[in-house]
Amino acid sequence: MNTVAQTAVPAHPVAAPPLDLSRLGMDPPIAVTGIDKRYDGQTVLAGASLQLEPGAVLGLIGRNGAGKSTLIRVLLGLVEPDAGEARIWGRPALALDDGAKARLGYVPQQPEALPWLKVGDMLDFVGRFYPSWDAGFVAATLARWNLPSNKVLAKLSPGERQRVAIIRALAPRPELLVLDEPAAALDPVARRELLREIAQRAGESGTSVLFSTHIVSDLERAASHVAFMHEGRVVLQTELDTLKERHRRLRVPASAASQLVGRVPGEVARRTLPDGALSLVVVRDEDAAWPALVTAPGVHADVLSLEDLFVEVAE
Amino acid sequence: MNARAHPYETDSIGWRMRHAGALLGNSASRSMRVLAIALALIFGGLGWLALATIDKPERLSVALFLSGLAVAALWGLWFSRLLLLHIEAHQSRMPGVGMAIAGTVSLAFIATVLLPSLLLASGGVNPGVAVCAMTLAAGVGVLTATLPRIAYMALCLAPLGVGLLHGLFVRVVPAGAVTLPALQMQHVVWLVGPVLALAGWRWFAIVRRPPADTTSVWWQPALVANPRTGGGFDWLSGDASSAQLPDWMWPAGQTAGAGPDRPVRAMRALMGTPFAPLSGAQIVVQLGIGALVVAYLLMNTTGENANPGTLVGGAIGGIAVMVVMYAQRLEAMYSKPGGELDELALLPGLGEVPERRATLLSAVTRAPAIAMVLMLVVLVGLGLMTGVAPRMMGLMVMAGVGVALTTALACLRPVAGLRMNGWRMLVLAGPMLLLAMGTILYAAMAKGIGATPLVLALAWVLAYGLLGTAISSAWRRLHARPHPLLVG
Repeated sequence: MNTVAQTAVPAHPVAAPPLDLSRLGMDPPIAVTGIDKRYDGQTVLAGASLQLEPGAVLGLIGRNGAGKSTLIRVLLGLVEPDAGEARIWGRPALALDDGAKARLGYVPQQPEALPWLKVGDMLDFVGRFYPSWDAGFVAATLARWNLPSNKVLAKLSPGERQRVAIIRALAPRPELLVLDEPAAALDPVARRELLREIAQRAGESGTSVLFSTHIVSDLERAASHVAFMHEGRVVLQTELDTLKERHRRLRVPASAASQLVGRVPGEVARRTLPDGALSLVVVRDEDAAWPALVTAPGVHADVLSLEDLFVEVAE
Repeated sequence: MNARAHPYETDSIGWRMRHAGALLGNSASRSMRVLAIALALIFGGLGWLALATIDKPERLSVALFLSGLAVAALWGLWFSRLLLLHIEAHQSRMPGVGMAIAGTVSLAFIATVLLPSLLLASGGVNPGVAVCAMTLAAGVGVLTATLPRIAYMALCLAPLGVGLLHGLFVRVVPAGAVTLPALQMQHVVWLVGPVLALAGWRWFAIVRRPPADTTSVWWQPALVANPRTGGGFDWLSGDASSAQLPDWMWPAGQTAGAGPDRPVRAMRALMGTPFAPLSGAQIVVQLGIGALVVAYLLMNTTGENANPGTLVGGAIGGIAVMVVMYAQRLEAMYSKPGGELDELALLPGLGEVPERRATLLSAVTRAPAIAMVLMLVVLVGLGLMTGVAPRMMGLMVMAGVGVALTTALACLRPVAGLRMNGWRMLVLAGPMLLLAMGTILYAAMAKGIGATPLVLALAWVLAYGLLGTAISSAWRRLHARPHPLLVG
């Protein structure tokens, strides 16, 4: 039997080393380390780690059920993890103070809160708690998006409900914005508008943004960084712009594959092809050299689109 | 076209039967089918038993009524679900499926009307009356499933309305002045036509509704509003359907005066009904409804035709509402991501963890405590008016305190991250509520002679111990949580 074929996907492929902001006297907006979470005996998160740098727009991409929503809920302190630690601006997520909460905006995957209130009443009520609530933005955006302020939330369509939740999250002018599949129920026009708003907030106000999605085009349009999630782990976190130059898919022929034991530096995905050859995806660090395997005789290397890269990692 | 060219003989009886079987099998979930069959067997069995064992002439009407319930259960819980398939077929422009459903409904109708009618006829029931009664039952089953959801609410309130009207009638109209004709078996014949016509109209009107019907879920047919169960009590959970209830029935609360400077009020506003602060008008309406209930209880527990059983019924109703309404809302809130709990957890201005926990407990306690005190006052007041002995009154109060502790536990468990609907709560709360009902029943109806009052009092002391232990355990768990607004 082929020895390479028996080699499982490595348990913890190396993600790009996070920037050590604490040495600069700054705490990252989000720092999540080694989170485990199980529900009813089923592992949802298995050692997930993630860091969001100030002003970055991090797209968290993964298949349905990869653990994106649970990771987001853990990092916001809405769910207690079984192991690991989540911090927001250096504070434990489970013990956020009012100051941190006032700087934070969150859009859940399916906003269902306060369905009995009218849109205007809900936004007015919630706004009382935020010192920097932007009532002008609320009024203007409600009008621009044709959302009726005197309609009960329960009577809105899912897309309208999501747009109200986005307004509610943006109105406090948050320094950290966390959005869980914010575009899922939006039409293409609203989706594009939302992504533009996110990019604008990050560019002009330095808002740090984390948004989860399984739509690759959304990621390409708005994100500066990307994190791939697969089976409860963040298997790759890196800057998006240079990712194209820093990754390769390698096809190692069956004859060479049998000699390949252990993990290749920067390896993020591995699978055996039907003919016994090996398909590997490697990502190198910014200043690091390619592993020797890339230029080895018989090894074919190619560059993938972001979508293909996602498929390789998530398969 | 030559029919023989088809691979299957689609006109054969066997093919139609298989088709009907497949449609019926896929129209409802397995549990719903089992429930419908179980109820049909139980009611049908009881009907047969009545026919076989009762000696009096009433046995025929009893058997007819029970058999009718069996048929109505089958149609209400199972066969009416073909309507959901019919809607899909209509919207997907598949007239063939619609016709197959019509065939299946006809077959099911013949089977469920003719078979019990034959059995009833063999037991002595007039065959014509039996056919009419079973037809009526099938129609009532379909109507029940296709009624707007609000009708179920009206049915819940119907006993109160009927009781009030009856109380007034008895007091206003002299005895014997009006004699209502006695209901007879033959009367069902008159009802068959209208009920069948109404059921048929409902069925086809629902099928032809436009797909994007934005009617409030309360005006939608029960089957369509909740395809899984066809009804249920999920509206108690503060979901979109309860948000669409009329304000007098389920007041949505209001946010005026709620903010960071009044955190308990703010938290209550965020928790919604039944914890939410009410406006003046909402309070007046709720007190008005409460006054109607008290009037009903007064009418039925005082005077010549006094019936202490009404007091017991009222108390039992109050108990059930107390425990289920508040705890169910919290259970739903603590198990729903993206809901009010997330909002509460991330909203600034509600203080640090200990402060937030204390605020939450105040917000949770306030409404049930007021309701409990009001209920106890009404119970004791009515007890005094009906001349219940002081020791019996003491027992009633003990039961009331037991209910309060059960409610406290039911509310505390979700807040502490424990399930309220689980078997642990059922094992504890079930016997507590039975004991409370038994105690109130005994205190209202019996003289209190012998050792029974003492036994009941001791039982309550034991119950307090058990409830206290469970509450203390949940309390410790709540304080061990990093913060009190974590899901699950």
